[in-house]
Amino acid sequence: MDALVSARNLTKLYGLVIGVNDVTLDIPKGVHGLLGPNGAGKSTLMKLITGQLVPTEGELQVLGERPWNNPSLFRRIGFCPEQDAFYSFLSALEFVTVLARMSGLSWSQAQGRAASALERVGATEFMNRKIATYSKGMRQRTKLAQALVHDPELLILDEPLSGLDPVGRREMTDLLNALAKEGKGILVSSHVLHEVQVVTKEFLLIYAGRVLASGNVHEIRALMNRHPHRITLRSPDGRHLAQQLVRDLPIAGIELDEEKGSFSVLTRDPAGFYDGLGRIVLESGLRVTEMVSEDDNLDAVFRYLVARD
Amino acid sequence: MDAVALLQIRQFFGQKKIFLLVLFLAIPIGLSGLVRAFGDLQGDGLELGMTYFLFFLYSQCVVPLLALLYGTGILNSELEGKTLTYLTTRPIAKWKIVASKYAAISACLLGAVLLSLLVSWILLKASGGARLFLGLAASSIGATLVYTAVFAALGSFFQKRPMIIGIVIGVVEFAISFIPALARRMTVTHFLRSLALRIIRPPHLEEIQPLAELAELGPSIAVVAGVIVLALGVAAWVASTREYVMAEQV
Repeated sequence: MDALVSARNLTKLYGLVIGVNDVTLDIPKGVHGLLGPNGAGKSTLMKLITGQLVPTEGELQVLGERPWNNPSLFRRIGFCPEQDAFYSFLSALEFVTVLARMSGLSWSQAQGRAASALERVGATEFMNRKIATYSKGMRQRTKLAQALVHDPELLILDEPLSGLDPVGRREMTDLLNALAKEGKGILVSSHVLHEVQVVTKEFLLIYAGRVLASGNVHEIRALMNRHPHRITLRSPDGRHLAQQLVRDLPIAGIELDEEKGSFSVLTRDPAGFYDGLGRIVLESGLRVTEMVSEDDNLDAVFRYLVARD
Repeated sequence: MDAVALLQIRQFFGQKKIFLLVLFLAIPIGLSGLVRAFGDLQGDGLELGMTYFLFFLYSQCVVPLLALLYGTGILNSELEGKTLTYLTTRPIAKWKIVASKYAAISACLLGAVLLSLLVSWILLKASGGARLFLGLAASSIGATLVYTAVFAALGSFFQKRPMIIGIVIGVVEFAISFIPALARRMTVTHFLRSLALRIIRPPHLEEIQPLAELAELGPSIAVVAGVIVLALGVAAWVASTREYVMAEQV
């Protein structure tokens, strides 16, 4: 079996609430982003993959095996959960060592591997301090180290970049890139596209429990570009500016809001629009006091895909 | 040493619950000190009195409360702390996680309870000699193991308010254990009391407790062991079949 994860009509219900809805997918080897807004079903899918939840319906195989109540599979999987929870009375070294021991390593092996994993995530400096004293970034590194410590084939990382500062984010993405080059299968979830596109170009889009689309980042970007972006502008010369924009730029529509003194522009070519807007403002002397790009995120694509379905 | 058990032992001493444990175990020591200071530690009925006094304090009050505190949290405390994920995504069967945690908690509780019992017994001028201590130690060990297992099973069934349900069950069991004839034989307390009294055999026991009403030593041990195995089996089965995910994590 070549697929890291294979699902057929996978459904997970929490009572009447749908967590994952009739998902059929094959995630091949490599690095994949699982992208969706908060509450889309990313964590539920990851919990199903890591055997924490039993499917309500359908089939799920991870590395060719069913994950529910299959502890031996977890020698091959490393899971970095989203929740910021720890045994805070332990140090990172103790924490990762004890979890390595639970993964089947001897105590001496576990301690050596834990130190190596912590070094790899850049945690050597603080690994002997109690976790209770750690910053968010330190805790994220510790979580990643426990997922890596037993050298798994597949890493499931639930929002690993959440809460990291720019430097930490860069270091973490460098590490994920290095792991990908070593041939590890990686499934990394996020609700922000640009956060994970530095790690992988392959994405699954999940929304309302359903996998809406999959493909590479260019396809998703194209999808985003096909869907009109909404840009709201405020200007003391709003009417004149709007007229000029309609005349000179690639605009799909315009909506005036007299009450707020602003207007919204719909465009399928946001890059061209921004270039042209700069030029018009410079040439005409019209002022723009505020500009907000409301749809420059994935929500618009998700809404579009749901509507299309 | 088993990693889950080691982690549980570190948790045992690292959690704030340890202050409650110390408080609960200090109460019988304090009461024993008061009896020594103000009571009359002489006379024919002393051994019988000490037996009932210490049995009540340890096997009927302190140990069930501690077992309730720690047993119901055997997995629930990990779930509430959101750390259970780290255990359930390792190559360990869930029943083994329950068994290891139970063994670790029981070992820690036994050490603490026996130490407290020893101090209380010494404060009471070692009344009744080694036989009294042995009998009470046996019933305390039985009580620790059986109540921790029962409350672990209860905690695995009820993720919400297991402590309150446990208190209700404990109070009902305590009350039934005083009903004469058959009803009391339905309680664990009856067999723990039989265990202690059969070992100690304090003078004048027959005057208030006909021996015939007590279970024999062998059956007492067998019933306590049977309840432990049954309760642990239930706890392990529930753990193996249940999804342990907090609602806000989904």
